[in-house]
Amino acid sequence: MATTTSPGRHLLVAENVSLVYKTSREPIAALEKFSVHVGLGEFVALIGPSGCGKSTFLKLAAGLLQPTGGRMTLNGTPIVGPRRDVGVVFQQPTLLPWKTVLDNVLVPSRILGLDREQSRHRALELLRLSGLEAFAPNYPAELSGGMQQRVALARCLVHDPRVLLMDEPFGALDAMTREHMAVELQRIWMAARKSVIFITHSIPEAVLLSDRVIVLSPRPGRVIDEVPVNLPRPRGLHIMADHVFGDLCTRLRTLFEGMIRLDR
Amino acid sequence: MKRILTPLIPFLAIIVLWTASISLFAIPNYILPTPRAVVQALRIGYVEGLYWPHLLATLQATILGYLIGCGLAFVSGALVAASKMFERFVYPYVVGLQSMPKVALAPLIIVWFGFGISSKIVMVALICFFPVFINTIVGLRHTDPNLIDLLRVFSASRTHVFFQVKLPSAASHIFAGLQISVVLALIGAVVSEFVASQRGLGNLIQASSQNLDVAAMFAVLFTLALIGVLGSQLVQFVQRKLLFWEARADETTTAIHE
Repeated sequence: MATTTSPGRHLLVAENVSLVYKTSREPIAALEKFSVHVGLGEFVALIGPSGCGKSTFLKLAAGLLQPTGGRMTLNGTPIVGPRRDVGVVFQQPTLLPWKTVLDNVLVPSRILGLDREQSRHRALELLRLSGLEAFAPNYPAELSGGMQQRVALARCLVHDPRVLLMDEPFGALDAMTREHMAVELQRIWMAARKSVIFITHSIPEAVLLSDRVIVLSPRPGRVIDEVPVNLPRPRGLHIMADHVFGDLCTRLRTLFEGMIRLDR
Repeated sequence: MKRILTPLIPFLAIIVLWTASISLFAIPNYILPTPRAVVQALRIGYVEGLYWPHLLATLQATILGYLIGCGLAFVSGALVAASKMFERFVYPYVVGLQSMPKVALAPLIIVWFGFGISSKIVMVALICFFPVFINTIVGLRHTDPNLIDLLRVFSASRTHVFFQVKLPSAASHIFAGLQISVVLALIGAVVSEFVASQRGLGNLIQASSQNLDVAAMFAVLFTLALIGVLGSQLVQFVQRKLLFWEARADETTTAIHE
């Protein structure tokens, strides 16, 4: 991954980003002097205690929020508002229940006004990749939770974005489906080579999927460590039994424990 | 078939009880008429045609008032949900108006809008307003914020977000309001007909009361009940057709539970 993390090829850069929420009582700093860079085609996992500003960072990257300090750039240009070249996946599938699976996948391309026939073709292709081709005319309520989340995955890819922002995308799934989805995400990512920012609470999931794991401190969120994951791809679930995998998890877990001790 | 037959059983039971208690307790017919007398009144009313102009007058006022009241409620509810400024502007007054018993307003509305149909329409519209207004606001504000974010990421316009996400999300709340307002609409029409009118089912009840024609009063009451039931069935039918995905979700849930 050396080529993708070289300084000239950073796709998403956050420099000393701060974000302070105004609340009715007192301002809350969600992020403080937060710096992260994500290379082209790099898969970065973000882990940290709950409420450490991970989701806030994702909203900044999507252009839904503006930082109160510092600066964020995507492909060299500052992120000043929502942009078209990102795809988002949330913890919940957030599908429109009144649209069919196919139409749900097409939501981004409709808003962006992309060519209908081409988008339809691409959407069907993505559904085929996720093994959901037969469900294209169905409604979301007729699908299981895991299938719905796969639809959400297909939707975030339909307009061929450069960056995927994923906020605990498998957090609401059961353990078995979750592992299966992680392997599937890796397969799709290896085929499409998008830059990914992947927020998770699961240390093994972060190690399994990412090129680099970024560990955040409790609020206000700061980067306390970055751990590169140099395991060969494609990584199957069996890699979890590997001692390198185990060492990485232990290292990350130790970082977490140190943080909790600091908190006390 | 079962859906029509099951509600008929309590109906038959009531008729039997009703007939039995009249003969058992020797209730005079100016207090409680026999079912036969009520059927007779209905026959005179609808076969010989005496009630039709009254029925049509009430229906017209109810439907027009309902449409106007619900329409205004939806538009102002949508504005309140969209703008904090507009909310501060109108919300306290709407709540204030709602706290006033509408029945107490009826005489004033008659003074302002006359004895004809316009005063009935105004009354119905006023009484229909609040449930739809509140439910529209609640429904629109309950939209999943992630869904809105998802569309905002692609710079979707406010109109797009409103029609593609907020309105469909709010639809079941809005229909709950529409459902409540159907029954309220009838109350509004009848009450304002009580206060002053030349025609209408409310007018008919009052006239029958003066003649101690209890059978006719019962006939009109049954008519009103029937309109209420049909009206709310109609709203439910439209809801099922328009919000097809909710019925589907229900089916899935029951399928899983079975």
